[in-house]
Parts: sequence; C-alpha cells; structure tokens
Amino acid sequence: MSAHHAISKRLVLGFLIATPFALSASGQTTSPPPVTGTKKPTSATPQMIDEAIQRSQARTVKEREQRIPEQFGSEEPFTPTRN
Amino acid sequence: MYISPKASPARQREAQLARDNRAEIVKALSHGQINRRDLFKWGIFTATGALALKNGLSPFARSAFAAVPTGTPRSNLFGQQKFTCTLPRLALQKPVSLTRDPATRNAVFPASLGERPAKRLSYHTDFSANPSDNQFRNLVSGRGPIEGRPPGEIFAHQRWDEFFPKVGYVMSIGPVAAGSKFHPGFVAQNPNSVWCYGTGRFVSGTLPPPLIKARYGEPMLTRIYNNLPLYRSANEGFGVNETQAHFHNAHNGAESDGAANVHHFPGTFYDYRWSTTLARRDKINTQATDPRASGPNGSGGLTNVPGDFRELQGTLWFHDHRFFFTAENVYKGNYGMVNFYSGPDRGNETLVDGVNLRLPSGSLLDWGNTDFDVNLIVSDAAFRPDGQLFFDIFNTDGFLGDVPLVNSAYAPFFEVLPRKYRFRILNASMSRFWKLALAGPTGSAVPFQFIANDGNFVVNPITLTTLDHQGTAERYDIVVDFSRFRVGDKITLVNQLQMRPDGRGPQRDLTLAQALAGDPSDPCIGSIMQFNVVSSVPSVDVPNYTYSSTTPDNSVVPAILTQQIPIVAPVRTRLVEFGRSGNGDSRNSTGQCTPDCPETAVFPWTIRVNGQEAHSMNANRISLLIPKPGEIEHWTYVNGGGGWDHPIHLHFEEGVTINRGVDPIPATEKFVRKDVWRLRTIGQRAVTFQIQFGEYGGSYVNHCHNTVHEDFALLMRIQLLTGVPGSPQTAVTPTPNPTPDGVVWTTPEILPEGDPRTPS
Repeated sequence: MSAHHAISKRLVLGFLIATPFALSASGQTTSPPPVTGTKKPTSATPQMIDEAIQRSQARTVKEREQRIPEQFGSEEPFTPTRN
Repeated sequence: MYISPKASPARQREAQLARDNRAEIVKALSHGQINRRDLFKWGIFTATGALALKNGLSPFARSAFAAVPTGTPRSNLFGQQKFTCTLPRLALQKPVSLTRDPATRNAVFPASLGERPAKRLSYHTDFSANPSDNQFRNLVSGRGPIEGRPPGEIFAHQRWDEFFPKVGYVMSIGPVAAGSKFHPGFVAQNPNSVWCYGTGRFVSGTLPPPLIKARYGEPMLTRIYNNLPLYRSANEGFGVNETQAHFHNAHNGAESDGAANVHHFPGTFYDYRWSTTLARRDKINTQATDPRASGPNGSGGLTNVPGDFRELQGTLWFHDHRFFFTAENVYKGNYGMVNFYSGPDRGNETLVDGVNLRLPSGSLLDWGNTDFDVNLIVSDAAFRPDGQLFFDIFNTDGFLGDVPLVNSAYAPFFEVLPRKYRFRILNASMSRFWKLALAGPTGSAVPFQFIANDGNFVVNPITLTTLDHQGTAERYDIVVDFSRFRVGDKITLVNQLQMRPDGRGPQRDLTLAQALAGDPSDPCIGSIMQFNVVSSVPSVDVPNYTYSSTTPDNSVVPAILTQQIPIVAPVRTRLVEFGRSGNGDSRNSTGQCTPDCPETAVFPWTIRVNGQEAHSMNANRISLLIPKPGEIEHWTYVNGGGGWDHPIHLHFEEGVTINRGVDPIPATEKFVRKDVWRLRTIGQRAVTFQIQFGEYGGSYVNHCHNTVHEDFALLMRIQLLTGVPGSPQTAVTPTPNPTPDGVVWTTPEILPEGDPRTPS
C-alpha cells in the first residue's frame, strides 16, 4: 500500500466516523470528555470474585432475617473473610 | 399476590379498588396529567421508586378485612376452563426474494410490494441531507426521517456485500386486529390493549406471534414499520409507542441488534439485516470446508458457510428493547420467534447424509418442517374485569400474571400422535420463572430428553423428568416421546415453581403432585397445557396432508449432538455484580441521563464492574469495552444479593458456562453455551463463563431479563471494537439519541474499570 493510499484511507475513515456528527438532525452534539486515565482494575482477581460472593451471601442473609428489602448503601461497610 | 376467588366480596372489592387506583395513576401519568415528581410528593412512591405500602393502593399493604395483604383480584376468565382451546401454531412468515441492484448495491423488493429498496446506509442519511424531501420524511407525524436507523457509516449495515440479504420480510408492529382474543370465550381485545406484529405494511397486528424460519447462508432483511398510535396516551394504560426490535442473540452487527438506543417512532420503519452469520467465521473454518457449518440449500443439499459448527444456533426470538419500557412493550405483544436451520439441525427427520441429526420435525419439506417440531411460547398475563390486558407498572420487583398463556392462548390443548416431538420452549414472561414437567394420565412424571439450551445443542442429550428453572428469555428444547401412550391419553405440561408473591424470584419447588393440586393464590402453578394423543393430525407444513398414528416415526435423537468447545486460559477475567450497590444514580459525569432520567428518585438497580463504583443504566456510558476480536475472556456474574433473582442476558455472543462458583452446576448448563444465566438468591448466585467476540462490533448491552428490573435500569452498555478492519466499529461509536426530528449524537463516557486499554 502506498503512503498516499494509506493517508487517503485514514482521511476517509476519519470522515466516515465524523459524518454522523455532521448529519445529526438538530446539529447538536454534546461531548463530555471520556473518563479515562483513572487507575482501576480492568481484570478481576479470584479474591475480588470471592468477596463479591460473600457480600451477596451477607445481603441475602440480612434480607431473610430482617425481611427488609435491600436499600442503596445498606450493604456497606462489608468486611469479607479472607481465605 | 392474587387473592382467591373464594375470598369475601369485601376483600375482592378492596383489591379491585386498589388496582383501579393504580391504573388511574398510570393513566394520568401516560396522559401527562401528573408526573413522577407528584407521586413522590404525595408519598405514593418510595425513594427506590417502589409503590408505598398504602392501603387502597398497594397489593402488599395490609387488608382492612384480614391480617393479610390486600392482594390483587383474579383476572376475569369469563367462565372458561383450561384445555378448551387449541394451541395456535405461531404465524409463519413467508419470505420474499430480494434482488441486488448492481449499480446501487441496494436490495430490491418485488415490485408488487411497493417497498422502497433496502440500503446499506439508512434513509435517515438521505433525510439529513435534504430534510424537506418528502420521500425521506415521516409523513405520518410530519416530522423527522422515514427510517429510524441512525444516519451515516456507523449505522450502515456492516459487511453488507458479504451478507447481502437474499430474502426479505415486511412486518408492522401495531394495534391488534379486531376480534383478537386470548381464548375464543374471552372478549376481544381493544386495538390498543395489544400491540403485536402483522405481515405487511398497512396492517393490524395479529395473534399468535410470528415465526420466521431462517437458514444459515441466507441473510435476511426484516423491515419493521411502526404503526403504533401517534399519541402516547392511546395505550390502554401501558406501553410506549416507540420501539427497537432486538433479535435476541443472533450474531448481527450492532445496527441490527436492536438495543443500541435506536428506538423509532410511529410512521417510521427500521431495516434490520439479520445476517445468519455463524460465529468465528473469521477464525475457524474460514474456507467453509466443514459441511457441518452449513445451511440447507432447499434441494436436499447444503450450502457451506465459514464459522464454527459448535456455535450453530437454533431456537431464537426477537422482541422489543425500548430502554426503560421493554417490559410494557413485550408484555403487550411485541415479540416473535426465529428458528435457525443448519446442516445438522435441518428440520428434516428422514434425510440421511451424515450431517443431518434427523431430530423430530417431519419430512414433507426439504428443511424447516414443523409438523413435529413445535414452538411453545410460555407467558403469564393479567386481565381487567372488562377482559382487557392489564399490566401493573408499579412494582419494581417483578410483574406476575395469573393467566398462563402458551402461544398467546389460555392453557390450550394440542393434539399429538403417539410418536416423538420436539418442543422449543421460550419463557416470554416479564418476571415469572417456570419449572416445567410433564405429567402422564396417572399423574406420574413423563421422562423427556433435553437437547438444547438457549438455542445451543448440548453435547449429549440429557434425560430428565423436570426442567430446571427457566428464567425470562431462556429457551429449552426438549424431545418428548408420546409413543409410550395410547390414543385417548392426555398428558399435561405442569409448572412446579412457586414464585415469591412480590415477583422477586422463585420461592419453592413443588413436587409434581403438589403442583397438580394447584395453588389458589397462583393459578399459573399446575397444569398450563395439555397434549391429547390422537390417531391422526393434519400437517401444518403441507395443507391437506394428514398423518396417522401408523405413519412411521423416522426421527432420531442421536447420542452426540455437537462437540465441546474447550475451556482455555483467558486473556483476562471480569467481574460484574447485578444488584443495589451505590446510589442508583443513572446520570453520567455531566449530569446526562440517556435515554430517560428518573424524575426525582434514583433507579433501584445498579451494576458494578470489577468491584468498583456501581451505576444504573445510561446508554451514553460504556461499562465494558472489548478491545479487539478473538480474545478469550472469562466473566463472572454475581447476584448482588438482597433477595432478588436475576436472569442475566448478554447480547450478541454465547458464553460457555464453566462453573457456578462453589455451588453445583446443573447438567443442562455445565459447559453448555448460553446467553441467559439465572443468578439465584441462594445457591447458584454466581456464574463463570468463557466468552469471545468477533465478526461485528458496535454498541450492545448486558442486562437482567426480568424486564421489570431491566426497565428500572439494571442494564449496561458494552462496546465491541471488534468490527472488521477499517470499519467504524473498530473504535468507540458515538451514542445515537433518537428524537421525533431525527437522531442527535453524544460522545459516551467509558468506565476505566471496564476498559482494558486503560493501564491498571
């Protein structure tokens, strides 16, 4: 592939991706900046999974014993048992 | 939740009054006379969006007449008994041939249909270029484009020329035709009580739901018109007049998945290209040399296709996926089924070629016989005292009906010959789980063979006497051999599962005897359908042909149906928890809700990835990102706890189920490919599966298929950068925001914990 062809292809691709913005019905686009760069685990560890299951069990026990549906935040704090 | 018909008249009136009050609020909401903010101000909604426990309103508030919940009145059955109407077979759709216009690359419908050609780019593109041109404008509303598919390359049909549609379907979603009933003895439904599919353009919807017979190697173009009322209030109390049709787990580009926030409006259509792509076609059997990866050619032979035969699909369905209104719309009738036929799963029980499995089906047609291969859509409904379909939108835990339906008929019967039948059972309920078994004439369990889960063959048939719990959207294929019975015998399909009255999930498995005895508080427990063994039945495949009980049964159930996909070390693992963590706020970092915000309260459901902050659904937020095709990952889903069961559905790809955490895994799931996994409250609260993505890309979703949970934001967007090289789907795609005037685009935010491109 020639350099000229490669550049043309990039330009065409860029145009294709940008086209919908130009075509939007009202001409509006809103563009909040993507949230990137924050360091967070992008892969789950066995410990993470085990903790999630323990948390699930604890919430279910609480719901069964107290007959109160789970509410937001009511599960915190939760201390998992480390194996 | 449903009170016994033997309860006192005072309790009956109290329950009816409470339900009427709820219906009045729903009506006022849909007519815009009040808003949700008013309901919170009046104390009718709790902070989590649930109905407050008020007497005269909530079915769970204590009755004024007894120390029990008020309950809900039973549906009016107009004196009809079970097993008094025949099972309607699904309405088979007939395809039309499409021709390719070499100049435009358009797919041209037969001239007799008067349809404009199907195009790679949406007609919205033409509208945006020239909004005043009436041929591209919605002339019903006078506003916006004629096609709902968003404009430009991102929503162009991916791999259009490779999967150029050979056949087409034109269907309309609209008010039900006059005289339509769920039982001949019931009253006819009002047009806006039921919104369902009809064949053609200017048509009413019809019952039962449609069936499309598709085959590998024959891509389809399904054009769906929105013929729903222009005014949102014309809905008999529930349902929204905007739709996007999701082809549940077919291997299609995001533009045809029907769940990319692309609902369209009355007066418009949407062209879905249902490609029949066999997964892994870019990776395995790329030269299409394996005859097991194939579709029937119509004359006894096969058309080979690239891809992995172990990923062949069979029993599928399509349904509305309008975000936050899916339960109302699906319940109202917006769904149908699709059977995929392949070399092994031919739908012909006599053809012997070393590839065809010869499962029960029939043999009058070359492929796709349905005389002995029967789709059964199981659901539950409720009716108002006047007999019209009723939906209670107030409960965010789940909706349970008290009338069992099969193929939109109340507890029907079906005449069978003493031979083998295949049944493709779909749970199309909103929240109800079923546990189905067969009871013979003496009430004893009838064994059957389980052959497929969510449309995927198990390696070896599994003999059972009762099915596992079947969550919403799960499909179980079974083979029943009625040859052990005599003409005149009656066998019943029995539901053995007692649900929690609040709809949160299963409560208790009943024995077959307990289930057959019935439950006055839940008429969906016990027999829901009957099979009557007879000496002759007419063919549905070839009119005027009749089978008799002496017609040989040439079908077989082979010991091996497919091969196992090996479990390998993954590139990465992911953890997804579905529950009520965090604060339920669906807004993104700039305060946007997409497509809709709750007006005052937060949504009650959230999802969190890899143990990080929880989020409710926002279509403009990417929670998981797949960086490139072909990478094998292992995902673990965990029920967040608190007492709810969640059937979790992953769009686009099937996962091979590996384990259920520390709990036993049912034989019907172990190493079986699935697209819906039940997350239980106790036992099987987690599942780990192997997954890979390929062939197409774009924006898809992952969500709870208890559609009531789904509508209250228990779903998340996943973004696949797995399009073919050079396509827009190798990058993050902007979010379409449909409006009556056309689509507006926004740029999505991406959760860092869901983006492996982010250094951790």
